[in-house]
Amino acid sequence: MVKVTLQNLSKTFGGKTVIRDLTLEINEQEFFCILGYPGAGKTTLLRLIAGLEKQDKGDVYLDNKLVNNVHASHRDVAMIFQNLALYPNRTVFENMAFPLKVRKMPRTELRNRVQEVAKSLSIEHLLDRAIANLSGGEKQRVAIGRALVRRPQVFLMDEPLSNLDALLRLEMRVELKRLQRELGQTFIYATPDQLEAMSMGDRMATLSEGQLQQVDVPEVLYNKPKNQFVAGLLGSPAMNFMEGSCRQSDGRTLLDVGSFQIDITRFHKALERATGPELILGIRPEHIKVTRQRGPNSTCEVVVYVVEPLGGEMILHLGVDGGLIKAFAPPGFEAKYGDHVSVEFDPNRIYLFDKKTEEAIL
Amino acid sequence: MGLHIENLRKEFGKLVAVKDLSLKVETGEFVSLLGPSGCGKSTTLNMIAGLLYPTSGSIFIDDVLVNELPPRDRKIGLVFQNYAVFNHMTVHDNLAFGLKIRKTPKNEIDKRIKEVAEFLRIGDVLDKRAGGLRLDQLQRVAIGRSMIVKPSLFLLDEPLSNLDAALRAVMRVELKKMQKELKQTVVYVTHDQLEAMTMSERIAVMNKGELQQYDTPSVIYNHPKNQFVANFIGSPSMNFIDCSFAEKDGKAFLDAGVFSLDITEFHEIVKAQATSSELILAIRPEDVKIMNQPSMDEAIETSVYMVEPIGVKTIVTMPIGNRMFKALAAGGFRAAIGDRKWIAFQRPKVHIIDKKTGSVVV
Repeated sequence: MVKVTLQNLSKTFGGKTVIRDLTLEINEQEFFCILGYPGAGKTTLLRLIAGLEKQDKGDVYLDNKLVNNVHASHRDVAMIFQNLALYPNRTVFENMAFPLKVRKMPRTELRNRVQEVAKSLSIEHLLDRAIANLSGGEKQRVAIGRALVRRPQVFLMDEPLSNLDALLRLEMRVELKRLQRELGQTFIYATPDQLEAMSMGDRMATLSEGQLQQVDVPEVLYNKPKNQFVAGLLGSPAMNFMEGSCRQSDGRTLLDVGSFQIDITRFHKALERATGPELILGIRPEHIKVTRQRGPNSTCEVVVYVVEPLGGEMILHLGVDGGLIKAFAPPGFEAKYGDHVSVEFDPNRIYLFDKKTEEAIL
Repeated sequence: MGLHIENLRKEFGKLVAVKDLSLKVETGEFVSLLGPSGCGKSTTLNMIAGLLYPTSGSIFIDDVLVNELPPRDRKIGLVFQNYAVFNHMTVHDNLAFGLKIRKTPKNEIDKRIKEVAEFLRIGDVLDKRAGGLRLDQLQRVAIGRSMIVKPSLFLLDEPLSNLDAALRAVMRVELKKMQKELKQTVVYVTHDQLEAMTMSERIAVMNKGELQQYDTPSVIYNHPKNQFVANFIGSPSMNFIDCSFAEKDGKAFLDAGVFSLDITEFHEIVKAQATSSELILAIRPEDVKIMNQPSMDEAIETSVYMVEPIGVKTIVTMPIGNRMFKALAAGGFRAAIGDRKWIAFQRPKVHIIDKKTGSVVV
């Protein structure tokens, strides 16, 4: 139960900057997700908090205590890796007892502690089994259990679900989040999967090239992304982007995207923030209405390229201006390759980004 | 024409990897072999390719019995998960390879390479060595290398599983578009239900070497033949709850202990087809409605176990009896853990499964 504060943290490996002047505060009892592509610096960030790497610059505080010079083994931080790092030929009990044995805990206390933790994770019945005979989800729980017995103040998790199959991942997502609630511990969770970050995080940060892009609750990142990177990272299918340029016509401001224009006069104030007339129009697939016939509010006509039925719904890939946009088809909509249909962008749900800076201007 | 498999069987010692599989793939059709690892899908593909000999049964490609033909005489193109591209050769030479060993004239080779490279958007890397390419480019080269010999039948074994989620989505669409434009016959092996659903004209769902169902994605999704198919397709998975069949006052019910559902309309079908009174009620998460009040007779009381906002949707997990139920709510749905809720099923979407046989009765 501890607050984690990072101040102006920087780390380079052989001349390559991996973490760049990063400042972040993670609240106690928070489930905090760090989202980024492979190579964004997620693992390095966790290792800096754990004390497994030493930063070049900046400070790490655990509960307002500066721990820059505190060794990893004394930071009271547990790290769980993607490959779990369990001893496959040992039993669950032996694996979980290991960190306590190293600390020379008396036998009875050790036994009680392991049993108590195993109970809280519903793996009591597995204590005598060898790791090699467990399912992926069970192994996951043992790895968490091994961290828990030490009663650490912060849990750092590095893509702990990526090796599990899709079904189990979905189940473990729920279980991990519940566990964190019940333990009331601070969890810092790194993942490349936007679904995991959005569904599990109380708050989340997006990381790109060692820099934080946006830190907030998932809803805000989804609905009000600060820049094009964040907008494109969250959501599946991802937001559609189209390049356009602003021009004036009869006192109106139009965004010219090529085959169609959008009136953006009402964003007059916001447009002053743009560094030039070149903008990126963004719209999420769920905010595009697809119709057979062109209507009065239609944005443009498009050609159906690919139809992707997902079962409950259908994603249409539509050709417009040499590019493709994605939209959800309305229920019962039939479409095939080559069909001409119309789309209508919800005028209240469009996003505008400055092409040069990639910052959101709405 | 196309591919025709009759009573195909493959035994490895005592293990029966593929059990009497019969399947027809029409010319120009995209068919996926879908199933968990070990279901026999790759073994089937390898027999079609000629890399494995069947224990019994026949394989016809374009109406020719190919059982005894070596792979190179089968008019097939093969793409694997691990590319099998020559790293030390340029992209151009990789593409030319198959044509050269077929002694295609030089000007014909150049013409085809140009076509294929343009199509797969690798024209700008033709002179680069394959070893230096990005993963998606490498996969395009692998596809191009097979495509260039104009195979009658294109066989792909999990070709996208090494790519990250975003790239996989892009390649999925491009592969599908290419197949449509070339009217190429494709057999595609995958364990990813989303890939199979979105790309295929028909899906062959396999489990333990046996074909479970062979039909269009929409039929497989909406009318699964058995519990395996129902569970394997769709994400989050279908909800299942054990029930027993009960009759009272001329009416029929599914009794789940914590609730009972009137199924009088299916009385006759269930009586005629079910092998015992043990049944399973199955319903997809998107067909479960969440309510704040018990506003209908059949509302079932529960409490929120977990809420997972994932942008356009929210996954809500709630206990029903001793099982966890998942429901898909709108993107804006918010609830706290422990909130009291009621759920109801979209009646036409309820499936009833015979517990003993696993067959879907309704």
